Amino acid sequence: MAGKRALASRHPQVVLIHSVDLESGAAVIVSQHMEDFRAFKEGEQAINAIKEFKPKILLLELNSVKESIAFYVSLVKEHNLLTYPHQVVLLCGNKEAGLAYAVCAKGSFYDYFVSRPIYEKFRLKSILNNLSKMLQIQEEATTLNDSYINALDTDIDELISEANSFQQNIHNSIENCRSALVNNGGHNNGDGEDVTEVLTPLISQIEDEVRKSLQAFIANLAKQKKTNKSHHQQLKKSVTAECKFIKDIPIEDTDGTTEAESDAPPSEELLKQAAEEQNEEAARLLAEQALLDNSILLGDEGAVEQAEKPKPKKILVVEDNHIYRDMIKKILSSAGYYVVEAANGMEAIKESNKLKFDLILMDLFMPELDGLNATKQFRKRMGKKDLPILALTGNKNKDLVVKWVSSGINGYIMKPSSKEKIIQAVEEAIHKKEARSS
Amino acid sequence: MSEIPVYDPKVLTSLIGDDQQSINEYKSEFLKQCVPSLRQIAAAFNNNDKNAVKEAAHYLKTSAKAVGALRCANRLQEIEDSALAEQRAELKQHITLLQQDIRDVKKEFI
Repeated sequence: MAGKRALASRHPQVVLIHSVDLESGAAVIVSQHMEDFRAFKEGEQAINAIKEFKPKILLLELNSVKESIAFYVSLVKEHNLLTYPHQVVLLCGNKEAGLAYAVCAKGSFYDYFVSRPIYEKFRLKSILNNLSKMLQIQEEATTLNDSYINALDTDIDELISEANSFQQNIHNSIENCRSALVNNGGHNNGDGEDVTEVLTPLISQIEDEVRKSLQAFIANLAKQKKTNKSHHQQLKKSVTAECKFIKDIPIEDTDGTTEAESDAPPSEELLKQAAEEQNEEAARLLAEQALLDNSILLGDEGAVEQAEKPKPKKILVVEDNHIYRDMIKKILSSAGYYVVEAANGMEAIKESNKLKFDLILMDLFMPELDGLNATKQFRKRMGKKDLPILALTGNKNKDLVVKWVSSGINGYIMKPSSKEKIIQAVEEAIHKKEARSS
Repeated sequence: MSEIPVYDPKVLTSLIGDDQQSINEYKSEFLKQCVPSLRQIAAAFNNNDKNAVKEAAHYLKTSAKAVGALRCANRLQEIEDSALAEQRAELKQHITLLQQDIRDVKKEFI
């Protein structure tokens, strides 16, 4: 899909709708990146396009976030469109990044991208790649489910006809029994022995037939259960952890049965389960790293004591410049910290949802979501009041420092500082936090 | 500006140590980063988009400072300041001089 230059697609799966007076730079990026793409100006033409093409990915770039939302609502409510699975990306101006973030954070839309000015075109490509991948997986899962349901229909038909034939057999046997009794009536000498003689083989015959039919019936049910399991495994294979929210995938219950989530939104439990699994995975990786760092060998004396050493502190480094980010990561990793990287505030929030960090080092001026706004999000919305956040900055103007403190930043590290100063600042901030906690 | 050294090797050493291989990798990565950043600054200037000029200059300034490309970092600060003050003539001059600063860094690095 990527890297191909395409003319306007006849059946676009990705549609961008932009304001009449807005020349969309994003349209150029997307058209160079995706084959099935077309852009439309808002209005009748755009509405007809949605009606005709039923796009799976909709990019909205109207004059303001408010206008984009209003247009989307009118598509759904007034025109009764987009009633199928689809995802929406908001394209907005730099000044509205915070608002767009808040809308996406509430789950109304998939993501947002600052298109005025276009600063990080690769992020837009990355959003589209992720969406395409997700929708492809969803489609594969749906196809798999459809074929399974068709097969299931056939199997159930067979089972019903088998059950009918079983019922008929029993009915016939009982009828035979009755006929035999009637025929035998004239020869009965009154002591009941003849009736027993007639009934015994007939009852045995019925028993035999019931046993055979039930065996076949149970065998088919067992086969059905096996098919269910195999289908569930196939679905599991086709769906990665990040796509657990796909709506129509059966989820294994604690008792081993499955449930289909149909059109319901992802439940809190599912999201919680996914988050827990991610945390467990992160904890496992941390433990592995700790083991490697301590060079524990099997049979070493004292290995157990080493293994019980405290886990490394987790630090999130948020910096858009990858060179400086990499340097900080190396410095902190060499000092024994476990470091996770993020290129902007938005990524930082996503990472902090996956893992509980002991400290965040954050650049202040970044695209998408800057350091100050990200800090506000951490403090107010995510309740991370005690998490130490240090700013990475090249400016130590007093007024600015006061502003940072009021936004919830605990301290700052000048860019660039020496390795020793960086480690010292980090250690101090973590010790302060621990002292407060204890 | 000319009294500010083009490159101070101590800055990089104080950050990442004296491993020559790492130093060379970061130098090379910085030179790679300069090309698109300079283009981005020029394009934003031509579009009269002062915020984009400021953002692109700020981005490159971080790595310029980190690798010790001091004159370049200082020039990028000037660009940020001129963009903020909407001094278009000065901004143009600084962007032109930035090209020369980057060439000088390249010579020092190679």
